[in-house]
Amino acid sequence: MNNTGNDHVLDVRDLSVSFNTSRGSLRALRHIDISVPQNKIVGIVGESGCGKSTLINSMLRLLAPNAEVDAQSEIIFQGDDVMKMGRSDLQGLRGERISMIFQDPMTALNPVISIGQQMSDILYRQDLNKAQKRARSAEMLAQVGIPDPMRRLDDYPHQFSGGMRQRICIAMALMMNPALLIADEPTTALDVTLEAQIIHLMKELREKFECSMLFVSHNLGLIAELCDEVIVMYAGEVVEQGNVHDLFHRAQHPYTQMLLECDPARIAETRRDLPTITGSVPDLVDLPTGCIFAPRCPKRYELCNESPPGTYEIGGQHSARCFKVRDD
Amino acid sequence: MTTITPEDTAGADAPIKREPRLAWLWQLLRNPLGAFGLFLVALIVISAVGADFFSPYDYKALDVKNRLASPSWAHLLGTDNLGRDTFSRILHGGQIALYVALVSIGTSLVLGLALGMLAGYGPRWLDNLLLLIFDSVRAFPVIMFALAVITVVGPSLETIIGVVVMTTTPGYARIARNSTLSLKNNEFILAERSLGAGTIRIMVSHLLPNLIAPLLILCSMDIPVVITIEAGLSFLGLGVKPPTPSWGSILNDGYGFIRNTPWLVIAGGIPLILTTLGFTFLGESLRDVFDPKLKKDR
Amino acid sequence: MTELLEVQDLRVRFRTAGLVQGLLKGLDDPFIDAVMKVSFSLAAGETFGLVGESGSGKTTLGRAIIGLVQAQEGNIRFEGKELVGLKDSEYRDIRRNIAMMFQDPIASLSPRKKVRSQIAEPFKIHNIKDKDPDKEARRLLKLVGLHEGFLEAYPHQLSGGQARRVGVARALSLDPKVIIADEPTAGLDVSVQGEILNLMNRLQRELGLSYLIITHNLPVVRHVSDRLAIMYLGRFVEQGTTTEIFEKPAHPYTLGLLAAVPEPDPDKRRDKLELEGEIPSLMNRPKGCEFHTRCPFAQEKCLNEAPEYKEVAPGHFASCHFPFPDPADAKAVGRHAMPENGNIPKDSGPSGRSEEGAAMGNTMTMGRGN
Repeated sequence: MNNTGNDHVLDVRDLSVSFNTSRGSLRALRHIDISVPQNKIVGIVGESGCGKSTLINSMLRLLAPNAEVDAQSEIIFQGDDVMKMGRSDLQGLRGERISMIFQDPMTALNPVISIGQQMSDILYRQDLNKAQKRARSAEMLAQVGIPDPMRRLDDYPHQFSGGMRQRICIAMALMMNPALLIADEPTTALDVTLEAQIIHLMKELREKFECSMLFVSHNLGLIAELCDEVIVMYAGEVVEQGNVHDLFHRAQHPYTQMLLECDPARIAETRRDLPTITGSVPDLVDLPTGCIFAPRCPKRYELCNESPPGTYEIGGQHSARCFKVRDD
Repeated sequence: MTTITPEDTAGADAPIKREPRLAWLWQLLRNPLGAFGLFLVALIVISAVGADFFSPYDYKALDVKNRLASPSWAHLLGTDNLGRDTFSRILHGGQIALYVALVSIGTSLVLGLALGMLAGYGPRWLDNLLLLIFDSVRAFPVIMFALAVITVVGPSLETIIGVVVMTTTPGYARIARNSTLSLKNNEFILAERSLGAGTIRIMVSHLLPNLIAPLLILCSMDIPVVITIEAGLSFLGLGVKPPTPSWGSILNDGYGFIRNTPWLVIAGGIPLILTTLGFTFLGESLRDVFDPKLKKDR
Repeated sequence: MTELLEVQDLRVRFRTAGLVQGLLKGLDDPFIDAVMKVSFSLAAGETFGLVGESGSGKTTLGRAIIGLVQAQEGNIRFEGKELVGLKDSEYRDIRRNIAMMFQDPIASLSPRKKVRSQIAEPFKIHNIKDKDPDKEARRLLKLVGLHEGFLEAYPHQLSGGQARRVGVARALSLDPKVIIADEPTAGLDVSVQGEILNLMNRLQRELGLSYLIITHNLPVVRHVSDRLAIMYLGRFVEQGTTTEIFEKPAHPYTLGLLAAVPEPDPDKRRDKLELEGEIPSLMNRPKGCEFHTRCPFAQEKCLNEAPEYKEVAPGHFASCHFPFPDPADAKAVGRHAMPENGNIPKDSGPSGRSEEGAAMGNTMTMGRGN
């Protein structure tokens, strides 16, 4: 039953994920509410330990066996709740309606199978013969800028450079024309000049293929370059979200503000003493009471240590999880 | 106004989890197989070391009137064909078995480590030469080789030890060499070199501790193999000389007198089974303990 | 200013195929030049940045200076003493004066040794008897802002930032004059990058250290270095003061690098100069100017003649036939026979943008604050 009254491709509602570890329950994600509109690029930015990997793994239900998803969590993709899907539906989802690109193209490809074979395998659901599948694969390779695609179908991953391999992964992700493409730090392993090319490619392809994209990165520059909307995560929570201009120019959450101030690319005047955020990420097994960022927040007051803030609207799509937003 | 202070001591007081002493031991004991293995090994070792203390009789003492007796309170496992107390002989057999195993495996370990690290860290030509030697020696099937040597030199414990050392060293050396090769280019080795550390220091202080864990596990698994080789050779009469008790020779005796009493065979066989189980379980559990440990705390 | 470290025409080669293999493959030169005729100098108290992408040779250069790899030609002079050709044992003394911090902070620490023993190790290596290693270890930890409890920790128990500080402490143990830092901020979150950089800066002021920073991170190097050099395929393609290179880059590769850094401001999205293709393999160096296969300003001369590395402005060096190009002149690179390493031809796929780009008049981000 399609219950999207909106034009959202993905709606995550109250997602909470914990991991059972020997030290106790590690609360990796807490009450995540995000959505990806049709045909838009949504960026998820956060530092290590913020839970962005857990979040995207949840979407395809690729979590580790010791993960526990809270019962009230809902991940609605094109109207269907992913959390309630059966096995075959889930398989139909993966690779076909939702695709993923990973950080390291070398390990994302099978080293002992030719890329043509790997690409044809993706088309197993389609009623095409071998030659047609090869033709389609070659066509996709051309789309992502691989020269001489027909001949290169028989090559193995190690015969391509890093940048080419990531292009191949992008081609593979888009082959079935998914509605949502999830990219997990796709350029972190690449040199900066290659990164620029890949980002440019992704922009073009997204328009051509008309899919939505969820782009995960720790690089604020890439997020600004590519995304329409941005979600900022910290220690398992969404601390701020909104459209990209609001976020970069009118950030309200202290963490977002400090993150922006720390980015050396944003600091116009050269200076030898760069800003940092003091302290470290809290222990997710032993959560502090109150706001998750309070221990490191220079703007905190009494209330912040006592109870966790809710998500308060700032205007339009822009919201933040901070008492200051509510009280100012 | 955000106050961001360029602060240098952030993260300075993040807690460090202190690892308890012998953490690996507690982890081993948590694993039921590991605990059982450890128990068996302890049993064997203690009974072997304390064989003189625990034996009710002198293992050589004859009592022909009571030969081939079934187990009783006087003789826990009965007696053999010459009236000697089987239980005492088993305990002393354990001494033989452990002696052979520990001396030969221990020597192989030391030699294998030394040669393997040399091959891995040293110049190419040395590596090639040593590999040639290792592989040639490994080509010999152990038992055949042992039989051939024994025929020439005559049976004795020392011969067995010598044969075992010659045939297991290359295996250990190869593993040590491979680990050395892969560790050689790790950043921490480069860092040590950049600090001016010499070859010996690097090999002993930095490579060795990181190589040794998989080798120790292998040793643990090889001990029952060596014990079985010794028992096998003694069974064939090519191992220890009478009256020295070996589990293998007890088996051999029992085999000849099996129609009179099954107890000799049982007595000879059970310690072998227990030893093999014990060391194998221990080795397997050690593998689990050592491997994920390095990944666990991150 | 006295030059502490001087490198002249340094060349580092690596063998790619053995004798027999080389003959079989028909390679007339089974070597690659990881570093090719590099010259620069480092003064006391100065920070010099080596910037480049993969295959640029920057890490190899750093390692050659500290003697971890052998240089085949050229000179490295530290305080006047020649380092090229020294045997390992002779290098030992030099290593009290030049220390290195490695890229992966946890992997560069010996996994089964506590922090205490890692920091004390240099004292043991160099047989320094007149200092108490334990006391020194505490002093050094304090210097880098870690408290004493860390002495008992194993590398796998440390976070990336903590391990880096231990690396700094270890590098400082013998009072070096130069520290070579290989990607000091790699793997660190942006919010903690500053911690390490500020620490290094403070130590430089307090101890008069010189740094050679090896990195591909342009925004960071802009803040921390006095002078820098851009490397491509083992050569310096540009060298000068940081300010000048960021404000008036001379070499097209530098322009490309600067343009490729994404700007964290959504209002500043515009069509930027984009370098096409990929870095050629060191085994297959392009003829003429080695950058011509990717250069948006390449002309006939560039295909045939290698440019000279010369001074194009006071204190500012570059190797380009047409330095200080105008971004508006960026045009399609002519069609060449593409080498097997997969350079993308201009008119296939979605990147047929150079024609459009030139027509639109590419604008570029250049420097900051202009």
